[in-house]
Amino acid sequence: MFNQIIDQPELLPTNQLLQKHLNSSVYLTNNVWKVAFSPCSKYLAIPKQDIYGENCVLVVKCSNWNAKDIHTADLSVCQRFTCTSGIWSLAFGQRKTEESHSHQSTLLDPNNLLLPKTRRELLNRRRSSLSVVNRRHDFTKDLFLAAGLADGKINIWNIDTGELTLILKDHQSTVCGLDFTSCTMQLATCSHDTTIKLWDLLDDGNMYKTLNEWTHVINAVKWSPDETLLCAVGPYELVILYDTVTWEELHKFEGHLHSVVDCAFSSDSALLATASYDTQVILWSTITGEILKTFAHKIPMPLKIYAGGDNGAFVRSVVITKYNHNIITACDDNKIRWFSLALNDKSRMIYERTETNVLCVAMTVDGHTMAVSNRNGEVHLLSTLSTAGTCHPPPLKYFCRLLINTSLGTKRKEAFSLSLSQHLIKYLAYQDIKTK
Amino acid sequence: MPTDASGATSSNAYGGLEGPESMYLKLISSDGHEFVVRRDFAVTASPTIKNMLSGPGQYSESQPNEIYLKDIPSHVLINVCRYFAYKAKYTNSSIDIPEFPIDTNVVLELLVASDFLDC
Repeated sequence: MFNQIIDQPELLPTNQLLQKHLNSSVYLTNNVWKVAFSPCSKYLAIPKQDIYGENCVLVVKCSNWNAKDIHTADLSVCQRFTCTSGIWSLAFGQRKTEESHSHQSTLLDPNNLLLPKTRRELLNRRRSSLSVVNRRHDFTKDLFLAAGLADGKINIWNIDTGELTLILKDHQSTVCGLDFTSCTMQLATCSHDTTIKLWDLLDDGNMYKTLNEWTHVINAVKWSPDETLLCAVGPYELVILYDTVTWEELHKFEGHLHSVVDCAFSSDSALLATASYDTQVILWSTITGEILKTFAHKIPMPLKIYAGGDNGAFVRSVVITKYNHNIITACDDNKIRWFSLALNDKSRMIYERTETNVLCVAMTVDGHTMAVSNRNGEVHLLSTLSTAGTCHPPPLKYFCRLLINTSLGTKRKEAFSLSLSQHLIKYLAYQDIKTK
Repeated sequence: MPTDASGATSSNAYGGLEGPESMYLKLISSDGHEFVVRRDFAVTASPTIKNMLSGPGQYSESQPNEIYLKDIPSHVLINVCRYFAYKAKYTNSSIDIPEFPIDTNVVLELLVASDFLDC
């Protein structure tokens, strides 16, 4: 499809500056379970522990992570927040006002304006009479960082002013995953107390829903980029997709053989990648609910008894790159791998890189940089600008598909009733990358 | 003033529409709008257009450098031409490639057109 130029992703010059800050003798080598980039791609949050036993989050600011010259790059630790207990999860959130709000209804049925199509619209309708003046905290403007702690609390800091704005206290146990929506400051948190809680920060942190159907921990939650879906993953092969307007279970995906620990949506919310301890990353279609591709990390695939148990190749983390070209995964066999989504039926890896004890991969929203963290307390910055697929603009069909899938919102099953040929409808549902 | 080697008239530096190696092509939409685009942009972006030009004579457009796209209306074809320019600008580019903006009203027809043109 595209001519692939495979350029090795490289350590950035700014990586050296970052190491200088992180390796100072004040910090212990802790397991860095999660790092997070802000939506504006300028800030990176790293949890650390210092020698006095205090848990803290370092917020590193850099205007251009890919700067070629170390001396002009302005990487600095702009904030250091302390917490009362260990940090398990981190996420940045910022309210974004809708620029092109009108596109939701025109695609399918211009007359059907009665049903709220996305959570965003539902909230806007409910909230039209509420103003910031009546709220105790103003979450509408600045960039905020939320951290889920081991004692069940969630701390929310304002990055610009550095103050601890809010502490959300409802979970009974460790908050192991949290995620902000891309525009409306809704927070989903999941915890060792087996519940998922949803908080509306624009309503002063009001917790409006608890999902309470399990007797085991939920490992991670993620919102889809258009906010219509919430994905929850956990042990006993659990992968569930919820509709965020009605909170009914849309899909329960079966296919993993072990605990599922991480998930990622594509930018049009039509693809979901889940990473599991069974050495696989599975790519699901959120429209049809079927498996499109599986990416194996241990070849040959282990027998079921090992896939469901200790196999030495747990996949810890997965991200999908910009324009959905590639998937990047971090695996316990000390490797980070790049798999291509655009190539037709090969699920083979296009690049791998060794990183001992790697735990988490995170990408900037603009797709230029990624950060990799490991158990030795280190975080490395890599450039993703020149890896396969990013040198060439995607085909026009691709952009059309992204826009159509994003505009469908909660009505994505109705993609099948659009007046297009069968071949194009299958293309919209990503059947062209499905493994035959 | 240097003359352009590819089919230019004598005194200007712009290529023309004449001849087999002209610098420009004319794409004509179903409602009669004529779009003049760079030949190299259109040919690298769309294999269908390339085949239409160099096909074994069944497409009689190969001489006058005009292609009749009778299934594509003008409001869609204009976006296709913009895409050709976008693609030519950002191929082999080391800078960040921005997203190609598409209007929601035309996206379904644009999908059909881009599938036909294979671009």
